[in-house]
Amino acid sequence: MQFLYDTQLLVNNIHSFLFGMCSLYGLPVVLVTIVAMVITVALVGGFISVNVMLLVLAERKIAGHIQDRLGPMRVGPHGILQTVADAIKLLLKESIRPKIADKWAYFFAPVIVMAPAIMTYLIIPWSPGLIIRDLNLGLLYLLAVSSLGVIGIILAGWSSGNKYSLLGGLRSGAQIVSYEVAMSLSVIGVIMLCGSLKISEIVEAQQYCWYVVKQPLAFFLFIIAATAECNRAPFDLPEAESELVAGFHTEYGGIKFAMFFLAEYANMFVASAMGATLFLGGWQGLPILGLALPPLVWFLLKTYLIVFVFIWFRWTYPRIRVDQLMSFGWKVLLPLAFLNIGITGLVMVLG
Amino acid sequence: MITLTINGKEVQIEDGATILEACELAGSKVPTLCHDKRLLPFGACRICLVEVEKTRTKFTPSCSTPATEGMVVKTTTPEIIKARKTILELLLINHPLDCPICDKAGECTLQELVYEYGVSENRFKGKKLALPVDHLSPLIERNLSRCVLCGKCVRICNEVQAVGEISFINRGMKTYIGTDFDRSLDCEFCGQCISICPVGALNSRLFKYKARVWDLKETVTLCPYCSNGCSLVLGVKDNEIKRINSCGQVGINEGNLCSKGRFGYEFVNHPERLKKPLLKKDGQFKEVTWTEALDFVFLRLDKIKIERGAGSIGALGSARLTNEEVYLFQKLIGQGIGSRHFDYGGGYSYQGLVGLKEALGYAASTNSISEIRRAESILLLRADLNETHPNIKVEVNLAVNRNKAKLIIANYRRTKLSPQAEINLIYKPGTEVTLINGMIKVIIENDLINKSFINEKTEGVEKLKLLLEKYTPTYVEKVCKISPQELEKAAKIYAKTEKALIIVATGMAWGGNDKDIAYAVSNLALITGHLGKESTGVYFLGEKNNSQGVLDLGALSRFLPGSGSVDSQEYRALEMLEPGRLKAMYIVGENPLLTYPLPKIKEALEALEFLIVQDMFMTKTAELADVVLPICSFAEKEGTYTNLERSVQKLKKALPCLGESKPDLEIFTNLCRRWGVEVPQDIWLEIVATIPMYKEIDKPWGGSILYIEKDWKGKFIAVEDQEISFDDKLLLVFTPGHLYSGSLSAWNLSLLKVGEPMVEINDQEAKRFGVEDGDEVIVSSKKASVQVKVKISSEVPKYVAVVHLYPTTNMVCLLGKEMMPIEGSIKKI
Amino acid sequence: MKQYAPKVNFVITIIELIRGLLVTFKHLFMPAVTLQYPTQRWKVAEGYRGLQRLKVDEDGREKCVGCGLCAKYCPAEAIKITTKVMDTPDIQGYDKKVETYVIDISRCIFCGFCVEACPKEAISMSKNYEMACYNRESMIYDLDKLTKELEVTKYK
Repeated sequence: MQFLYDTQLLVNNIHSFLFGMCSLYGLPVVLVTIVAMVITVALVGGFISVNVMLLVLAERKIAGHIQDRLGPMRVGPHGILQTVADAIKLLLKESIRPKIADKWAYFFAPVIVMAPAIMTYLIIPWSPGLIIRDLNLGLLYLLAVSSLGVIGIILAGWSSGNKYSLLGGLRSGAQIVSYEVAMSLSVIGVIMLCGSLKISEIVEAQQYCWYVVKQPLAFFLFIIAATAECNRAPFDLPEAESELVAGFHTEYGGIKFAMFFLAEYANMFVASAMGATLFLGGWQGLPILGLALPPLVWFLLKTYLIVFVFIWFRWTYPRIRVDQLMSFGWKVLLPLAFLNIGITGLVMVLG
Repeated sequence: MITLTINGKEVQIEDGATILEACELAGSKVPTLCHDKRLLPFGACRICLVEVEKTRTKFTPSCSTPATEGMVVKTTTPEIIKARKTILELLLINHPLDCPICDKAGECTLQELVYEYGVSENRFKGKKLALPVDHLSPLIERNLSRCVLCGKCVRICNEVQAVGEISFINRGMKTYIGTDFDRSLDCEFCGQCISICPVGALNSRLFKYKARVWDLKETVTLCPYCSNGCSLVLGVKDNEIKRINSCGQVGINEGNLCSKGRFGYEFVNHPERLKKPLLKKDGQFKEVTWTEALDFVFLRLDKIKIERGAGSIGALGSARLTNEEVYLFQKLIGQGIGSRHFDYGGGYSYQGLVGLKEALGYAASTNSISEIRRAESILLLRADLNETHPNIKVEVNLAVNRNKAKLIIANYRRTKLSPQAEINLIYKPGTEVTLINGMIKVIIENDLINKSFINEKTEGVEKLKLLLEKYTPTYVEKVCKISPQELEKAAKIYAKTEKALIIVATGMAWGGNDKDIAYAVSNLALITGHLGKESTGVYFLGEKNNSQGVLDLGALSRFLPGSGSVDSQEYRALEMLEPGRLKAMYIVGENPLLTYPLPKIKEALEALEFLIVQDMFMTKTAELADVVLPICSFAEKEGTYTNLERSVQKLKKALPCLGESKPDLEIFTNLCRRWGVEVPQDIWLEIVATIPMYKEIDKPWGGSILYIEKDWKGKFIAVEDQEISFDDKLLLVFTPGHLYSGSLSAWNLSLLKVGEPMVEINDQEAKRFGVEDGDEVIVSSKKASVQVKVKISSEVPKYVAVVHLYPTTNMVCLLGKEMMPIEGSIKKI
Repeated sequence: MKQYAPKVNFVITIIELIRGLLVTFKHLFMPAVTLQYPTQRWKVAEGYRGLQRLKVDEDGREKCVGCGLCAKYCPAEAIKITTKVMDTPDIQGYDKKVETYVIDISRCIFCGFCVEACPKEAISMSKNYEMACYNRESMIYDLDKLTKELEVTKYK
């Protein structure tokens, strides 16, 4: 298991091995890239699927226990294979399209929502060196790409040809855009402290002190904004089951719905991963009790902790009304974010 | 009219009424256990106690105490309630707790009283009597331990039915109701005791455990058997008749029923009832649809009508059809097909009423049924009322017992009613006219004629007097075998009483000289002036339930003036059935093969080209038919029947038609429409328009008493017996028996247990022919011969052999077309 | 329109929000109240009104005499009884035999009136509440179904 501790070394080894193989057989270097890409895509795809399964199950089980009940128990021991069953069901469903729906927009909307969600996996720091691409503008890339999802949602709402879907889509669009601002501003504090947008550097900078200690307000704001970004309770009006039927994904069923679903949970993972990276130290471990866990495990632990917090929030708080939502986003979070930036700046200047 | 106060309310009631009747008038209900409207007060149960002021006794039984002027009566006081509770407790000492298994639960008077008075605990403890249950009597089950000794069964059997089968046996605590020597019941099984018993001590075996009383849907309808027109209450569950009950509040029979009315319903749900129309193909009957059957009927009949003329098609109706059906049938045959061959009942069973029409004016009995009991003398001519019209027997019985009427029975044998009679005239069969003529002569000789009546309201008396010159009592003795003293006595009784009735029964067993009897009887009534008053008149009792109605509607069309000689012999039923006379016949509800006195009837029916039979069962006639159409029974259709007192009463439908059977009305409507005969939506309106007398129903048409108009005149028609012989040969006569021709009653398996084909002869005759009781013999006349069992009976005089009609063989052909008593012989097999 | 903004005390809001979280967290560790049917079944109380049972006496004969009171009293008209005459009366001299005794479970409302009405205590209500089946015909229980003990399917 030692290789898990030294993942940077592992990556380098794999790289050199591949180069060596190439030069041995006289294959072009670009093959390495292709092979690497394929492996990456497979791993990421696999991870996303397993992750979604796990997350959905976890959500249902935790929801059940919070509500003094058991959650799924039948499929597999203690209901472990429930999501598998759900997935199979969704995949086997007939793909129908309403007549008045815009054919190509209807078809591509899930894809447009799904694609950015997967694209953000590019810069997640699993372990030292185990980042797919450690971009210099990592954080900016993340913020930019995750905004693209809105287009898909609005397109989905519009192209369904359903008033409620349209309303859901537009509300969602408005919500995500407003909380995007708050999220970006709350992250600026971290950037100021670290001095770079590169993810690995941000993680390295938290070696001695996690940023949650230095930026509690920013963490708090980030969590709230992230909840709103993922359309989760208490900000889940766009897909509120009892208010707008199912919001923007009312008219979608089968595989298309599965894609929306997948996108949501993928997004959630990424948001928690970012929260863990930016504020909780990423793959840095806590030297307590002599626990020497691999950095990957630390990272996953922290990420899933934040996921748990998201789930916890969903099943504790009631839904916020759309106007309350907007006023909260613009009138409370934004000023607080600015305040945070101001205080950070002030503290940094004063030493 | 006297006035008395009941519970503070003043009522006026006529003199002689009991306190109970006054209470009913006042609206205060007094419970009773042993009281019934039809019976004389008994005062056995003591439940009806009331408190009357200023009397010696604390309580008075209201059912047996006459009301007096100024009485002050209280029907409910705490002491009375306590007394009633005590009586119920005393009754409950011995009454077994059988309510869960007793059939009477739900309509048991004891149950209702105990519930009303809240008797939940019994202060008296005693061992319950374990009296035996009578499982042996057919039709009636007697459960002696449930009896409360009210005596209603004994009283109704005695007072109303005049049979006296059961009575109180022993005294005190050991009293029970039983027959002599504790044998099983052997009466006429009218079932009156069952209906009147307030508890479940007497039960109908046909109904035993079949259903609970509260599950039954009850419908009031009319009885399908005799022409009395009694109202029945059918208890139906799951589309089956489970039992028949009587109700004192509806109808003309006051809740009285006979054995056929009460137990004769099994034919309605008999498994052999036809459910689908049948068409004969290649000698086998095949079930077809109604459209196919009726199409076939129409096409063939039309073809025969066009090719051979309408006169080659004939129709036989039945006296069991409702008025609407007969009317439509007659229209179908007369207007649709255009034939004049329409008859029913053999053509002879209604001739008596036809004779009445010619003599008096209307083809009907002259008074209503409820007047019979107020008569002062009754002449029963050739009527065995126990067999044919049991409820008329009840009326006669009431007249004799309550009104002290004098009964003269003129019959060729002793009947069950004979012990009640003042005089029994046993005459030689077939000599009724001579007998009556003899009586008239006696009356004329003794100057007992009603001169004013004869002068004002009759014509033709001189001719009659001329004819009667030779009818001296000695002549009558020679012909009729009746002693002159008896004849004179009978004639004087009839002439001297003011309210005198004559009752004659008609039917399929007699008929040869019915018209002459009608003339003779009307002569007798006219000469003494016994017409047009209450309880005075002439009754001709039709045999079947709508005999009167069919005559009014169907056959009456013959007598419309200006229609030519429609009433010629060739249109009669017996002529129609001569072999080769007709080409096609439409027979509805009759079974000529078994009931018509024609020896060649089978050949006649087989010689027909096309025979349609419309019946409920596959009768012997139906087996020879080409088309058999199933019809529904009386309980499954709507319509009206006219009874012998001319009241038109309505039938009510209680069941859906079995299988695919249809009411005759629907079939006739369908066929009428095919021939273009217009059928109105409501046939009743058309009937009323054609026959204005039928405007009012549930009341005798023409009023209760006929011939009360000022300008009516009766005709004397002098008549003699056609064949008179003075010799002593054995004469065969018929008695209709309980089951008549068995068209309905034969299918009631339980009733069939009562009776078998037999001939009754005197023991002297038996010795002459060398036969003994129970032997199988062949009875033969010059027309035919049948095989029967012998029964030796002392009620039958010498030179007379009474053959009982039985539904499986054609017995009437012994008499031949003339339907007069015929010479015959008996041979042992 | 005028936006109605209630006066909000910020601190109290935060405190309440956190308290809410703590409540749910607490419930996470409380035992679930779910009864996992059909592996776990519910224990019914005494006097529970389940399926009717027709009782049988010591000699093996049914106590029911066919009086029809339960059928009359039933508010849903679910009971139908027909009786007939036994050819040979039994020991006590009674000859009423119950031919068919049918309870239509789909009509029955399980009120227990039939038990109250019976004068012979021949009918009682058992604790069996599992009568679901796949077609309507199986919901018409006749005499043998009502007298014998119904088997309960065991699930793992």
